[in-house]
Amino acid sequence: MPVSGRTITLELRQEIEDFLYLEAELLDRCAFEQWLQLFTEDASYRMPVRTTHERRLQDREFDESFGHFDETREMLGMRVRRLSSRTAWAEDPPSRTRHFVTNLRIRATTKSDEILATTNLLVYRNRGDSPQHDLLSAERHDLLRRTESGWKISERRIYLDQATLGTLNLSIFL
Amino acid sequence: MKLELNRIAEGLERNEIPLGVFANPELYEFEKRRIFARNWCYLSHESEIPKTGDFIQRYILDDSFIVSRDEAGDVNVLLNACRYRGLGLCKAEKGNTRNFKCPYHGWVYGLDGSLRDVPYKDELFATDSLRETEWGLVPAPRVEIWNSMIFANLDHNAPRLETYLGDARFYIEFYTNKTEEGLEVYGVPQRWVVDADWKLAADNFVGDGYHTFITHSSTITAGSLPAPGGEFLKDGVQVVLENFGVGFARQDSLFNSLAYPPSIMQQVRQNLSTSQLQILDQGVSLPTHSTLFPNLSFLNAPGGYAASAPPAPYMTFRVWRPLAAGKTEIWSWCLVEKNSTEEFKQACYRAYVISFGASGTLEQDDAENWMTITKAARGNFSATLPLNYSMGLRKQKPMKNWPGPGDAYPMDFSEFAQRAFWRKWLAELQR
Repeated sequence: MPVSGRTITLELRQEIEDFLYLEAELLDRCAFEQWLQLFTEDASYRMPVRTTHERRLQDREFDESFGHFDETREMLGMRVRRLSSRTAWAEDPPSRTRHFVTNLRIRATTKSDEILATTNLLVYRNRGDSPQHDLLSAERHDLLRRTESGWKISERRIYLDQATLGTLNLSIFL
Repeated sequence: MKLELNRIAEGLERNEIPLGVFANPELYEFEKRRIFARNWCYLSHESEIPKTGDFIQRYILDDSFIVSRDEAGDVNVLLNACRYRGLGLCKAEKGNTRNFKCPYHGWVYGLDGSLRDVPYKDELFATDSLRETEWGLVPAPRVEIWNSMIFANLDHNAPRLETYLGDARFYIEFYTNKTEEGLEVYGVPQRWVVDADWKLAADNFVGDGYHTFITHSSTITAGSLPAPGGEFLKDGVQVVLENFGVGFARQDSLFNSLAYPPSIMQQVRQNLSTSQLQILDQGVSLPTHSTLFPNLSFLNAPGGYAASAPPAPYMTFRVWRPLAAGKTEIWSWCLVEKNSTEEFKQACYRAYVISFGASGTLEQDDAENWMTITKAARGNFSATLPLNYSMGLRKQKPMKNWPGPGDAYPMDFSEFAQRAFWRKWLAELQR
């Protein structure tokens, strides 16, 4: 993604932060229909599968062409539709999640209406009456687009800090 | 344990399995030695290590093996442990190298496991105490490749792989031999850990057509399961062999070719044998779900990923790697036809990723059910609860003119395959 040297104003930074916090809140409230509205029609949502490599082959860790998620907006919509179907057993009772979004880095792109937002993400997940929890840590690369109805996610790449997943499935979103 | 096995055997006579088998640590110790140390275990597809120097790390339970492609182009399956102090040489899951060097004392091994260098060898070791030919990496006791599928067996006296696979080959070839060049792994295997027993997964894939209409109903709503209802396996066919079970859907517009396009179905007709092709005249789909004892399962099915595109077929191999009683690491591979177009491979991959794998909309609900069963199985009282395994008995008769091997039953809402799985499991534990 071409990056430009345009200055990121404090005001813009505040807008992006608010947007990402709202997004995290919608996920934690299981407001998936509303969450889906935050994606552009042409959005992609991907989580490349990670495989452990030696240090000299670190650039091969993520398989960019093969993901745990590799979604169009339509596919995300199918997942959201499933969650509201009353027979999505894996999420009934629903996971309790808390998305912590930090270390925001913003870079301008060559398009005036798009910016790149990189964040660190920590997701806490708990289910049922078990006191155990799963933690998923990741770096997210979001391409955000300013539209008439506010900021939207046009691309999301999720880079997990794990090769073997430390959670029972990915019936949640990151 | 003998008493326990006798009790299980008595139950099986009545077509019952006690719930406790899914969370019994003593039983697990038995499974380790009597099943996983003596049966053929699937490790890898050859397409995962196409080039010289390519290697991957694979497991049979807790034993780690390096699967490598050496300079001669041969596949090696080597115990991942240095012969000096046992250090696991390969810490990566995958890579490419010229040799494996131990970081502890610097012993070096070739891609074929041969010992290539021992620092200060001549000064420190008498010639006959460290012969290089005797101290290479130890290969798995038995390694065989069939249709690009690499298997290993920890028992030197095991039957040959082809003998072990037996008539299951007739059905597995539908997955592997559709086209001239066959399958290749797309991407890498996904790995994740679930608190569910491996046998639940094997039991599900071997013959459980019955669960689809309820477990997966949300995926019909979502569109990832592109069927009008979840009963497509009900009036299909279930085939039972001693160590293999496979299910076919009833043929209809979708479950005829499993969404393989005419161009590939044409190749299927060229590549399969006459008796295999006769299966397709029986009013059933291509084979969908199956399990090869003990823990290798297959699924070939249509998946929907876009309203504007036709459903695409996905093919997944999966190994249910036991980690403990009631704890399993799932390994899930997506495979595509090697000589198909990139566009078609992409479509198959998309259909796979929304259906199976860690985020798969069908996979999620399967594992949820298996975890809930495993949790229920941990009780002192619940462990003895008999589960009903009598479906189809005295209701369904073997089909008379089925063109393939094994006993074929005219419904896949049936349990002949599960009963065979459990009989095999018990026989191995008692062997």
